[in-house]
Amino acid sequence: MNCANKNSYRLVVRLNTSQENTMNRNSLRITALALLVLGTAMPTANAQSITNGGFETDL
Amino acid sequence: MTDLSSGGPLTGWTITTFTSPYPIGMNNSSGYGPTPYGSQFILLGIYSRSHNYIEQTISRLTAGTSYDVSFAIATEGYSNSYGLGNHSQLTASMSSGSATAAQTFSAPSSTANSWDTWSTDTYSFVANSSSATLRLAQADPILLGFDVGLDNVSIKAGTSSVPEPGNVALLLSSCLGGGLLLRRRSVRK
Repeated sequence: MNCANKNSYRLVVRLNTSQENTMNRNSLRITALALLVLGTAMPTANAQSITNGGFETDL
Repeated sequence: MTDLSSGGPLTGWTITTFTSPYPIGMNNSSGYGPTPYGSQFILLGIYSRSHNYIEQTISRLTAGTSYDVSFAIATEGYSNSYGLGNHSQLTASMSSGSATAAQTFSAPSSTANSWDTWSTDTYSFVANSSSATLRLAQADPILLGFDVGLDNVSIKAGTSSVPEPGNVALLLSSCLGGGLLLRRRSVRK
C-alpha cells in the first residue's frame, strides 16, 4: 500500500467515525425529545377534574 | 336564589340536605356577595344540628398519590337571632377512596355584605383507590346558623408518596441514557 492509499484509508475511517458520532447524537436527540413528549403527555392523560366547581350552571 | 334542597339541579354534584331550602344557589345580582369567581356560588346552609353537604366522585386517581382540593369560602356576615355573624365554617372530607381525616376551615370576616370576602383554602388527601368521593359540608361547631358560601372548587395532583409507574420508567430511562453518554465519553478519552 503506497502513501496515498494509506491516507485515503485514514480519511475513510475518520469519515465513518464522524458519521457514527452524528448518528449517536441524533439518536440521543430523538430519545430526549421522545422522553419530553412522554413526560408532558403523561400528566395530561392522568388529569383529574371537578365538574362544575364554579357552580356557574343551573342556578 | 335557587332552592337546591330537593337535590338540584346542580350538575356534577350530589346533594344531601336536611333543611329546605338549603343548599341555596346564589348569584351576585341577588344583593349578596359578590363572588370574584364568576357570578354564582352556593350556600350549604345549616339548621339545628343538620349540616347539609354536597359530594362529587373524582376519577382517574392513583392510589398512594396526594391531591390538593382548593376552594373558596365566605361567611354570612350580619347578625341574626343567634348573635353576630362571621362564624361560617366548612368541613372537607372524603366519603370513600381515601383514609385522610376531615378538615374544617373558617371563612374570613365579611366587610359590608354577607359573602363579600372570600379566601381560598386547600384540603389535601391521599387516594387509596382510582376514584374517591369528596364531601364539602357546612360546619358550625357552635351551631349559630351562619351559612357558608362556597365557590371555585378545583383539584390538582399534589406530592406523590408512591411514584407512578410511568414516572419510574422515565427516571430509569433518563439514568440509562445519562450512563451511556458518560460511558461513551470515557471510552472516547
